Amino acid sequence: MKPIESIRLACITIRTQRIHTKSIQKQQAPEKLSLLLPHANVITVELTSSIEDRPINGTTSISLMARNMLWPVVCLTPDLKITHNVSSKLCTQDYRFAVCINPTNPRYRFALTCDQVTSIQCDPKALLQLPTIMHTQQSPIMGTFYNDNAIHCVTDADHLAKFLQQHLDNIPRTEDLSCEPH
Amino acid sequence: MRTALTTDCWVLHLNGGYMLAISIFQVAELVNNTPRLSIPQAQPHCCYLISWRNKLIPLVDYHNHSPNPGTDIGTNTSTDSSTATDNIMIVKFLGEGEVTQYLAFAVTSVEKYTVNDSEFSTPHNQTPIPFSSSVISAFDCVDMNNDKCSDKNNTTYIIDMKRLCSS
Repeated sequence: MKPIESIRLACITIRTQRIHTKSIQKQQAPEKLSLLLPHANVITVELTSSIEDRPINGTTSISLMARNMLWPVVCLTPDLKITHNVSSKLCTQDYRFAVCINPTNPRYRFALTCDQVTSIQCDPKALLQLPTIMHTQQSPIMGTFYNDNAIHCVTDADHLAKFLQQHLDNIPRTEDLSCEPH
Repeated sequence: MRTALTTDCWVLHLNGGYMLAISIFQVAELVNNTPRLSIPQAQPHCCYLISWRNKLIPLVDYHNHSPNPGTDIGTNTSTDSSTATDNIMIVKFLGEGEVTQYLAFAVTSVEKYTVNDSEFSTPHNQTPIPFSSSVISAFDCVDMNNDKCSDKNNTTYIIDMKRLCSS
């Protein structure tokens, strides 16, 4: 009998930051979120010092250049709320890394700010589907992985892109968006 | 001589003011101060899992709902903190494929109760309840403290756990 192979997933940790305090309404909001994605969804991990404010069509958006492409930067709270009106300076102060995430449709690629990026190995059997009672239509969370008394939320680039689609559509771009990473 | 048929149950006083009755055989365990594992963007009444006996169990907590329309506790943070507790009743039931499943409820208190079978009735949907599609039956729970002056809604619901889990 062939043994079940363990899989490696990218683990992105987002903690509550100073810039989140305006967005967080509830006192019970979690302080930390651990997102698990397939390794292939993560193209590169950059330092937040690479993030720049870019004026496009009269508005300023924050993005970073990596692999010869521009990646719009997205800041999320641990309860997956988008932090709006963030400057590159605040991103650099509050986060260490930006993970470049590439979904199937490269038009919706983005860089997600975070505190830590690691790689974890897990048994696929230990990845549990999210119970139906918890499902919502908009949620990008597909399942959970519980390890060392910590919960990790399983997602992938396409689900995150769908979740962020409206926000990403509103970000002005200057480049040809049909290019793909190599 | 006719003897009234009775059923023993546990009445769960849920966060948010709702009351549920479960069979005494459905009680798995009453736990306190279990860490809540937050799941972002999940249903507001079920956005935490708890770890219990090597299982992850969804936690139903209606503390942001209110039985009285127009007085959503979620809009009133002072009421919110005073009614929410860390008591959790873990309930077992048969799910899909006759497999035992578990669901956790955030409760303010629980009490053992004996109900006469003649008291069971079809609930009137006068007050919107968050689990209305899962209600099987209901009865009026008599306050053990015999507080006649209390105008509290004592409707106690019996719900289909399997349906609640799949809704």
